[in-house]
Amino acid sequence: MLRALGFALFAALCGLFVATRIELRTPITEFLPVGKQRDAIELARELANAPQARTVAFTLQNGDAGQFAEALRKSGLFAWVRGGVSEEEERAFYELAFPARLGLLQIAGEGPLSDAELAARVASLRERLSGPWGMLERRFAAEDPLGSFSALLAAQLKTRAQLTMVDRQLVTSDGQWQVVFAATKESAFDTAAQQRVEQVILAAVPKGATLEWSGLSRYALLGEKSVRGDIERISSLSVIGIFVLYLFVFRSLREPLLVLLPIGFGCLVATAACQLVFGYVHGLALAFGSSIIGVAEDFSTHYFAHRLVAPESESNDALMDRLWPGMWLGALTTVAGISTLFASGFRGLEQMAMFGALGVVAALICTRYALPPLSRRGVAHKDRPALQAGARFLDRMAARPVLALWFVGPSILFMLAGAPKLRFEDSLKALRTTSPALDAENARVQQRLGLPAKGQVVVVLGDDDEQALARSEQVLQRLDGTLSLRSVSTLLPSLATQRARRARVTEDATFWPRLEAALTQHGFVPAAFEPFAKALHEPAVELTPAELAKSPLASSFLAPFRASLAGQVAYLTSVESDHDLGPELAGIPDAHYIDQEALYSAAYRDFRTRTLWLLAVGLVLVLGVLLARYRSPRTAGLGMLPALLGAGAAMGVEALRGVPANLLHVIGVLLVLSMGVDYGIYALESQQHGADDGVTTLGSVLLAALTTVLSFGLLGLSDNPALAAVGSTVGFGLVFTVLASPVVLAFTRVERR
Amino acid sequence: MRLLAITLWLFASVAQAEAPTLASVLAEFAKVEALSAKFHEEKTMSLLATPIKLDGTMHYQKPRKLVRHANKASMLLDGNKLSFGDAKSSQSMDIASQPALRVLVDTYVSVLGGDLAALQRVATVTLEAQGAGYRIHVTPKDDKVKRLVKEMSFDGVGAKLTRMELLDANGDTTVTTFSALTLRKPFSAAEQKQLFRIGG
Repeated sequence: MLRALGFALFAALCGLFVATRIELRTPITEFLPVGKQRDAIELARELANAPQARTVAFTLQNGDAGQFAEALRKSGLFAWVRGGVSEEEERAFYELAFPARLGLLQIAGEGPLSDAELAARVASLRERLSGPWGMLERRFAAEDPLGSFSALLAAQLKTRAQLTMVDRQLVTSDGQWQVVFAATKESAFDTAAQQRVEQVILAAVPKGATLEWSGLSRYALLGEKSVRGDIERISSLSVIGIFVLYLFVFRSLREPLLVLLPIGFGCLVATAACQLVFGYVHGLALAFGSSIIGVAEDFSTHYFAHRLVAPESESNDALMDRLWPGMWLGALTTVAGISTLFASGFRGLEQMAMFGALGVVAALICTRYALPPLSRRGVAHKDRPALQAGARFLDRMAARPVLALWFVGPSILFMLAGAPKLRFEDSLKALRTTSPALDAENARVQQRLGLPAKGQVVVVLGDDDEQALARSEQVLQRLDGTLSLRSVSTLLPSLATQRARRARVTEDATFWPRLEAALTQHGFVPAAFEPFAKALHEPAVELTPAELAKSPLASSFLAPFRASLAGQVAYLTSVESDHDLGPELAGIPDAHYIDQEALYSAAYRDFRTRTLWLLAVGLVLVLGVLLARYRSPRTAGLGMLPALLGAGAAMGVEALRGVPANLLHVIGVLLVLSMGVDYGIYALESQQHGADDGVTTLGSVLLAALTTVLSFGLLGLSDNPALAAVGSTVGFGLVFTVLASPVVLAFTRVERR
Repeated sequence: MRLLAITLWLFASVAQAEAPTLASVLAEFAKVEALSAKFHEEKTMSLLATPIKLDGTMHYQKPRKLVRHANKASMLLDGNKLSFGDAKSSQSMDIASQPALRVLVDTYVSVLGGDLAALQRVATVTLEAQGAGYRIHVTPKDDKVKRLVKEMSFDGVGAKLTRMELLDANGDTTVTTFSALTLRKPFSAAEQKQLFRIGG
């Protein structure tokens, strides 16, 4: 009783800690691979949390976008909100860029400008003066005949992709939707913050207006809501299911209540440990881990089932001692299986592994020490005819091995039928909750705004802005002409480049006379360009990121491009390409081409392959343990048979259902093998104690599997593909595992004889 | 002698009756539903030794639809929305929020629409008879507008404009002469879609 009180006290402390400290989050970034090197994967991870990932694009119809933007600004939840170009921004652009125009001149090559180049620029000036912008051009022409400032204005227009401006408000080209961009202050994956953001957004929509918007945060919120809903649904339904099932089998309230003890204790300890170690509990780890701990209910089921048929003379502690080898061996193989996730390189899976492994161990200890003093003794009843019938059936199967086909045949059939159809899909989508409505809205917004559908980006790193900008320029030179290329370098060259460009004009003694000649040749009056001639001798003015950051232009000129990644200054160039641009960047220091979809897919493929290898290694190890214990290859093989058949058949069923297998299915297989081997071990262990015990074990395995299938089967109905993949694999896998269990008992009886 | 006096009086009366007035000219314009014309524009600037010449077409439809196409670029006024651009890119603005620009646009559209009252609200307007035709002088009243434009003038005969001159405050001038001007019925919906657009 003292032990039980000790458990209660420890559980209360854990509960208090969890209740006061728990922080539930669902950042998908935790399921991105971790790299020890500062490589593309690590950058991609950091990018997912960078300010650029916090950008939200809004399209609004039948409402005042200005009013909507103002409401977002006032909320204080956004780092910036931009719906167009204000007079203040126009002025700032002129005041910063026009004095620096000589350094911002966009010219190719090196050395003095050729006569041909000068002639072309002067001809272009004449053409611009005759165009619709002629009146505007006239204002700058005398001071900027080379058209440097006009080119900057044009480049700025180009960055708006297919948007136009109506009364300083960005609108789509068909004029149907007003456009507002914003960036939240908090990470897109901080779901608590994003919930507040969503409330503000919805409240800001003008009455009668239609809002359609796109942002990573929407998917994060969807995932969080879905996982939270699943946790509530699955935990309550599975607890009710298990309770009812136990009530039916044990005809008493005590066992159904007691069986919850190890599960609850395991969950509490695991949650507290994860909160303590990781600083938060991942929603997926909680959902998935809780299900794993549900497996720990097998221990108590095994114990209670044997209590029913054990002799009354056998004390609870003695019974537990008798069952303990099978229990710890089973727990050992389960923990070993789960622990392979520690080597995954995915922080989310590491947390799942920790949650599961610690929870199983805690539940096992609770079963071992808390259940015997609390459970009934001397109320055992033996359903002798049923036990005898079960034993006779096992004997018959042992005598006529063909009967075993009824139990292993379906598994083999599903494996064989499904194998040709099995295909793997390695993608981040395998983990993401999807919503056709949200996907469609997202696609509509992206199309309206002319944004690239894929997240392809080139990241350059530098020790400071100057170095990173210099590298960004090299990237722009190499990739110029690539579809949808957006680079900071079209608007903001490095200081070295600005100085070099200015020098090409100011340090060339022949420049002004040659320009005068070109002006004359194209019908201009050179004397009218005296302001420009004078500017050639004035001190240099340069445009710097620091100045831009202080100006009203920060959100439009710097925010989309600049980030702090890997402890360095990073500049992003977004591109759209159907092939790997990495080779084209060869030789540019710290330039990384990141195709997020391709990168993650490759990472998941690698991990899946690695996990499959780990599974194989794990199976060999388990086989070694079983060989060491039973000293018979046949018995050891029989112990593993249900697990192997269950895992194989589950994959076959998934393939036949047309579900592409992914990393999470492999993890599901891992669990089926871990639990299936437990069932095999229980069966083998029970044979040490006679025929009745074997049949009782069969009953306990059936009951345990039913409860596990109940909880995992419900997980299989989850909207979250990750949970659904694990749930369905384990659910189907255990059905086939249980089906194959009698074969183990039957054939080990033969061996014992 | 008496016969001569009567003849002179008759001639004088006829001449007085046929001399265009601001009201009569604008009344003629007010009758116009729509028009199409070719234009030739010459910009003379202090920067330029030789003027910039531009040829294009323009279309107008009451009350405030006006488009100019030249050199693949377009300028389109639709109500208060003024757009510039070409097939690749465009920019629009609501002229209600740009007072100086609004006065310029309103002046032009008020002349074409024959809206004397609107014209006189933003500018001082006078008419000078020129042979069979006239010249309307429009001088902006607003100081902000005066910093951009000194004067606009419109030459024509009846409801047909022949020439327009814009004198910038800096001395630059833009002279537009119209040819093949056709006064016509309102454009059909299909014609409007085809003609009144950027890059058309």
